[in-house]
Amino acid sequence: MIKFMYSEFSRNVSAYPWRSISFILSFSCTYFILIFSSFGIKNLFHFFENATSGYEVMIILNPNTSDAEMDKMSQEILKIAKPSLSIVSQKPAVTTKNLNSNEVFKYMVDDNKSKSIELSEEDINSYVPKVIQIKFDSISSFKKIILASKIKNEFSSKNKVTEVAIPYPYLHRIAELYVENRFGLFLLMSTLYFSVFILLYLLLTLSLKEHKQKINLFRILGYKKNIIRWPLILEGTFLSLAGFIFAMSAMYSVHLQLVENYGAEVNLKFFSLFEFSMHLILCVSIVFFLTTLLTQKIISDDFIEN
Amino acid sequence: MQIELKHIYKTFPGPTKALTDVNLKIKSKEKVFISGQSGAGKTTLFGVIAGLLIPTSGHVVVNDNSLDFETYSNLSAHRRKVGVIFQDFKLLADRNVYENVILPLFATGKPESLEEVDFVFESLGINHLREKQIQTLSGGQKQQVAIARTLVQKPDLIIADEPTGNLDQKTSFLVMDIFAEFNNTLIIASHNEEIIKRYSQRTIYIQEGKILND
Repeated sequence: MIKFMYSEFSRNVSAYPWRSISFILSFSCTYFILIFSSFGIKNLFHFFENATSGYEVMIILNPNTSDAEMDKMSQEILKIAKPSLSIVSQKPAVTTKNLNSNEVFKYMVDDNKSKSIELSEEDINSYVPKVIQIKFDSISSFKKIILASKIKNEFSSKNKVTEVAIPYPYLHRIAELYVENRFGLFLLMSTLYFSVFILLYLLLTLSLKEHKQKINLFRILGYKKNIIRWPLILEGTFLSLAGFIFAMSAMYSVHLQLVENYGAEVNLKFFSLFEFSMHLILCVSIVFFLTTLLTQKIISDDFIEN
Repeated sequence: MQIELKHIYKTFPGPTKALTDVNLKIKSKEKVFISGQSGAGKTTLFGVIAGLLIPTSGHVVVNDNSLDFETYSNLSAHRRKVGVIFQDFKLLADRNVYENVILPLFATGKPESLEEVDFVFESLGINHLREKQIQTLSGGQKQQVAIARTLVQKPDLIIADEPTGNLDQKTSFLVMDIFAEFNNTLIIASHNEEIIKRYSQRTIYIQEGKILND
């Protein structure tokens, strides 16, 4: 039985090479939509994770800010997003504790020379800016950026605040767009995946219609269901697998092109072995499931044309 | 194989009634000719007997057991016992003559002995066609290949729709002689009066889906 099914399968694939090639290319194009969108989303998350790794906000205050004023400001910050953030330190940028007694504070005098001075406790209190350092706890990278942006907006104009320093300030708009439209993005992806499913359904229907004459003859001759069905399932799965490999190769060349052109700015990741396998299983199992369903339907149809 | 049709009706979408209250009993090993004009319902009747068309109502009784049209495994088991020769031959263009002829032997997945195949090729005188592709055959040759495929199946019942329609007189008689030697039930649709006179044991006339004369 296996020998017969294999010979039917290989006949199906090899007897009409152009049909097989066109189906492989069609599968490939369909899968590319799915793989490209997964690649885009994976790298969007990857980029934000990278950008917000060790992410912290520094509020730089005038040197003459008192401890009480710093405490008050810290409480206000905590109110914004507690428990998503924590005040890591609240201190002058330099303290005598960081320095050995004979250590000096270096600063540039002109382009090439530096000059060292010794700092006393009084100097530090008078001249060294105070800093409130904020870190974020267990929230998404998108939310970190949005919160940082909110803190910047609220505290930049406050009395005694010199600067609110946040890394990647330009990312907040993208992060806001993502957080505000998460549901829309989910819908868009679902529609895209559903379209892939429908496209595959149409492709397989077309492919099976090509075999309808043969399927009908096998039914007339009293072939068992599995003997009719398995060569077709094998064929669909094989063409789908070949299409997947083409689509992944195309995606890899797109990835290489992007790395070559924008590698310095964005650290693009290709699919890991696990993600590759997951995509492979998803793509091939959709085809397997649909072919099984469609062959079942064709085999159960009435011979109306006879 | 004994076949009995009880109050068979078959309608297709639209106003056409292909078969109307057909009652018929064909005994085992009986040779029956069915005659009637084109569109009289012969092919539909064959479809119902062969288990290819589900009747709208009525029962098909095979060897005293009602044929279950709902279960695929029961239907396919019945179809394996019935050899059908179609007017359009139903040969597969993606394989050669030999590969077409041996198709029924793979129906259960366990290929039966191929020894009988050579005998069938020799009986029909089509040994020289073995390796030819279907597209290269004439209408008559295709008909012979379709007949060979049915004989290889060793069915309990052969249903042949105009089996000599594309054959010259000599080959027609050769084919009919082979059918006459066939030691089982045979149902043939034919317009050929000479063949009917020469080979018929029983002739049924059908018109507008009803049996006119038996």
